[in-house]
Amino acid sequence: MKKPCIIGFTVALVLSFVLVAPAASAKPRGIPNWDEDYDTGSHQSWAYAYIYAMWNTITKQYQQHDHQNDGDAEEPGYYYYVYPSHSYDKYYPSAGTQVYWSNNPDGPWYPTGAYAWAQLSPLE
Amino acid sequence: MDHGIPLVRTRGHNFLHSSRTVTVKISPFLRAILAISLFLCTRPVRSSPSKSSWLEVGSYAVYAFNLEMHPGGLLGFDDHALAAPVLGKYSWRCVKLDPNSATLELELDFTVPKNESVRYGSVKYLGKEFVERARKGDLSFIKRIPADQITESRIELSQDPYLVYVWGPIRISRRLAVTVDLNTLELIDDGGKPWGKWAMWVHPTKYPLVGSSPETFIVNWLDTAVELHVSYNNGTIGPPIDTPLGRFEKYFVAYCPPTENKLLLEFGMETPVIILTYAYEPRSGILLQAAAEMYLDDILTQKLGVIFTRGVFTILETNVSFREDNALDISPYVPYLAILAISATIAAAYFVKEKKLIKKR
Repeated sequence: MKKPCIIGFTVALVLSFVLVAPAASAKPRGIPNWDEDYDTGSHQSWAYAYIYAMWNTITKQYQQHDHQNDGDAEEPGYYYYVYPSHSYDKYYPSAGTQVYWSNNPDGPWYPTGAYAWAQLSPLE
Repeated sequence: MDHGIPLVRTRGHNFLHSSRTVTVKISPFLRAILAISLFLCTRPVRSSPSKSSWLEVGSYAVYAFNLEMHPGGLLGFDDHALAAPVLGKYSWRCVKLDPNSATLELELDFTVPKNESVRYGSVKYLGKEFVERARKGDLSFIKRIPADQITESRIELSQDPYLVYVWGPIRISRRLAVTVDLNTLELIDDGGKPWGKWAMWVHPTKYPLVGSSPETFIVNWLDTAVELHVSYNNGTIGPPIDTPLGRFEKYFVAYCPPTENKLLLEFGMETPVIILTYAYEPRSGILLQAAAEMYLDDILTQKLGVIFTRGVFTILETNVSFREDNALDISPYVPYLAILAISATIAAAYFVKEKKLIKKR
């Protein structure tokens, strides 16, 4: 009778520790480094259309990396939300994209740190 | 006298005693362990402190809105103004404490600096309508900038795009007193009628350490209420929060999925969405940081007309002591440990019984 006792005890012990063990990491790996992966460069022209173009470019670049708003994660178990923004300004036009991550579609959402902000030079 | 109770009765095949009926009994000591384990298993797991027990007259906290200048940091107002870049402070101090309510003095101070070299730092109004009204000398649409700061020399009109600039430096500050119902954390008026929600702290004891609890955090944001879910982050659902007061691995987090409001489109926001993730210190319940770099509450929306923010909102200073909790926190694991204890008890009972049977033979 010792054998089933030992087996049962061992199984219970292993199961407990498997259940108790926290997730290996709370933050997904593989978030692209904006500075290295994308170069927004500097630009000498200014226009509404250009801001939109920048915004679309930035967003699409992220979507190509599966960072979509539909929860299709680059890394299984993680969700991403692309948040584009731009600033209409005669002197300081800009466009940017913030990417958030979560391990649950309802949140909580945290910035990935892959924050792209393209400063556009004013029209001369 | 036998205090044992039959736990398992088997008939038929048994690999040691194939034709015997085996009755397993456990001692009072093991029964006690079993009972305790079952109790722990069914006990709701909650944090320990009582609500706002730390609050006293003189308690205060100061928050920074953008510690550093960032071009992306901005405030959006309900008069269609967009201020950028913005640095600011938001502080509260308890000046009166009753059994069921507290009076807090608030100081909100936001500054739009001006950078001469790049012509940056302004409050802008986007739209042809504003430009035409300004051209006629009608600046009544500017509601949130103090009148003494709206001088002719600061106003600039642009036609492409249609923008009215009010150049910095601009300071938007407000001192006010609010009363907080300490039971509900509602903001109440002199008659006790709720008009908003106090979001600067939560009652940690209200929330289970597993799962999430929905709760209204903003009563009136663009005519809608904003409900957040509160969960306990034991380090597995979110990263550590870094603040000027240190790093917090564990915290309560109030959050919502990206929440859309089409009205933001009228304010020049191409993504009419807010994402709120508020991190609260687990013992006191004090707000540590708006981790999604966006902070809104009923004070900002209803008293200052701020309907959108972007920037780091983080605690800077407080005299509320955060009890260190560096010891191993086993509370989330109690149910699993209880299961382990039950399993071990059953296994031990079998083992002891079998030992006795072998001895008898």
